[in-house]
Amino acid sequence: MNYLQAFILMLSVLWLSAVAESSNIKNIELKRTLLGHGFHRDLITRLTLPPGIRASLSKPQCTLLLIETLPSGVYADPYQLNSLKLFGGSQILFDSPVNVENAEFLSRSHELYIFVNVSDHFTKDSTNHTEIDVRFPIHARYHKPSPDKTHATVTILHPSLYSNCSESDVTSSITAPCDLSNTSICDWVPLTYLSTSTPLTLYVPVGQESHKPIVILVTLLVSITVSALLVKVMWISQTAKHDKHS
Amino acid sequence: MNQIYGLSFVARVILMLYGVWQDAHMSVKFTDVDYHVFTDAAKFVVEGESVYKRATYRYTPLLAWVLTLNIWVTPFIGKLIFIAFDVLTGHTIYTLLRKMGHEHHIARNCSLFWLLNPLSATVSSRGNAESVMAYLVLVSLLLLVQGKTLWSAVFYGLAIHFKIYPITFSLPIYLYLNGDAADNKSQQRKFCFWKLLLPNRDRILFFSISGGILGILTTIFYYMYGWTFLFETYLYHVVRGDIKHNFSPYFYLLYLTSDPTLGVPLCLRLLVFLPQVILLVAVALTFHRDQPMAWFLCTFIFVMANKVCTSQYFLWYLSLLPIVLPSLHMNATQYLSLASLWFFGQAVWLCPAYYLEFEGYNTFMLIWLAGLLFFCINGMILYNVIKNYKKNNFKHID
Repeated sequence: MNYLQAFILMLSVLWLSAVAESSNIKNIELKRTLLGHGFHRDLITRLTLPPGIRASLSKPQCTLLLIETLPSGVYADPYQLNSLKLFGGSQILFDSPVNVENAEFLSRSHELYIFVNVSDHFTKDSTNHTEIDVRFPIHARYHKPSPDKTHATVTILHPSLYSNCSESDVTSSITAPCDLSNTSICDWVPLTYLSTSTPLTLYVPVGQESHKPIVILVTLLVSITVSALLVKVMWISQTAKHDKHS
Repeated sequence: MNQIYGLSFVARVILMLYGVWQDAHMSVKFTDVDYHVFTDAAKFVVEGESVYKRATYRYTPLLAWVLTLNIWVTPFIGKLIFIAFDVLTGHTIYTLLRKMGHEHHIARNCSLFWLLNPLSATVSSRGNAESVMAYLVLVSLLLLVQGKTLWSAVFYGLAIHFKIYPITFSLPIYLYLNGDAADNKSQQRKFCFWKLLLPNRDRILFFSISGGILGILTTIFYYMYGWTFLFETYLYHVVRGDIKHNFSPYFYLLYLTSDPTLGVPLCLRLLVFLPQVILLVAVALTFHRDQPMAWFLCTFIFVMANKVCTSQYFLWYLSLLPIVLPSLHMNATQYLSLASLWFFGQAVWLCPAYYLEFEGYNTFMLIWLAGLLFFCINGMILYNVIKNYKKNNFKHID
């Protein structure tokens, strides 16, 4: 399922970039990177707004909304993001409570609503483009042991992008929370963007099913042997004490 | 001793103040993650909501209630309370050793082992609640050794309410309370075998009081918070199916055999549980006459052979170690080599664990082997402790 989605998205991205090159449309650009290795990563989304689009979004109440779908293999920790907010992180709302301990096979994907206030971001002098970075930590979940692979693959698709002050198009706009407080619902108009990066993948180490027999055997052997030796030494120390007493 | 306590307190407060700086300036935070969990839960209390609305809050509501001071007064109050309990633990170690008949300087040195221990000092000043637990356990032990069965039972019930692991002491306590001081002679013991098992006045008193305390607290909180309270505070620790890597020798076994829907097969679950149970029963039978040693051994065994084991569990037995130290007849080389082995075992485990968690290498096999090695090292430590242990036959000072 994930692979298929990724493939379709990649095709559309290729198609869009082809269109962009041929007609030379100035469009929003999106670039995604995943920092770090292992279970704890930083997900970075860079939006580049050309001057024309930047101007159309310059009203003070203008907000961009990124809807990010994190698959069951990874999660963002609401409490961690909450503490990062103090340090100028993005404003992120979760669609549902997140269990931060469950393994992948016991979890569902969850959505994040990321609110970006455009007027907080200034135009860069040299290129006249506005760059908006959204960065937050994500964590990989434990996956089911595998019969043949050492790592499980998790694919994170690109987010969808909306605005609350673009020209309204009733057929395609969606309803979503207006802001972080999640007290009201607004209409959001989708914005198209071009992406130069493919959907992100991360590889999560998984246990090997082939290890199962040896692991069970040796673990039980060691634990029972050590325990038996300890019971023996306890018994000896006990009888030694009593010999002294009598 | 008061000067020592004062200095220990000040040193920990300085450490806590340094933590404020580190939290503000470095990406690796000084404050314990759990401290934020407590504070968030306290916030829910202030807002009139359930403490269990905070995910991963798995403690008694009492803790969150006390920490509402964090919200009302200053976010440091909680840390100061934990630091106070940490120093009180040092004081209890001193008092207990004196009651057990040890000289002032021996009791003082063992108390210093706790008070000057960088491990316990950082844990409490980072805002971890383990010091409260250490204090409850030690006070309960002190009262038991003093023969104040009733009050010991009160603290014992409270301790189990905070964390369930002291329940492992119940068999040694039961056997200890034999209601007959002249029971030490082996001949008489054999003759009165029924006395070893049948209930008597002290046993009934102790277990009905501690059970009553536990029952009352559980009932109150059950009515206030419902099923979530029972699950998060007690049951979670029993059924916890945490497959993430940890120090336990059983971690990889449980991860590989854990079925997505059914969990670990029952026969394996029992086999994993068996060594722990056998060892705990063996301690109860062989060491019940010597409660401090029995409590230390039970805790050490519970932690080393548990299906989940993280570094914060080590503190449980570290707080009981000072009270058995004077009775261990080992030389400096033996102490040093056992202590270095213990640290070495952890270091060997931490390497592959780091590469798994932060570099994404598949090191499960190495982590498993390191877990087994650490288990064997712990077994060796225990072996030496038991072998070189001689109970001092002092008269109790009252």
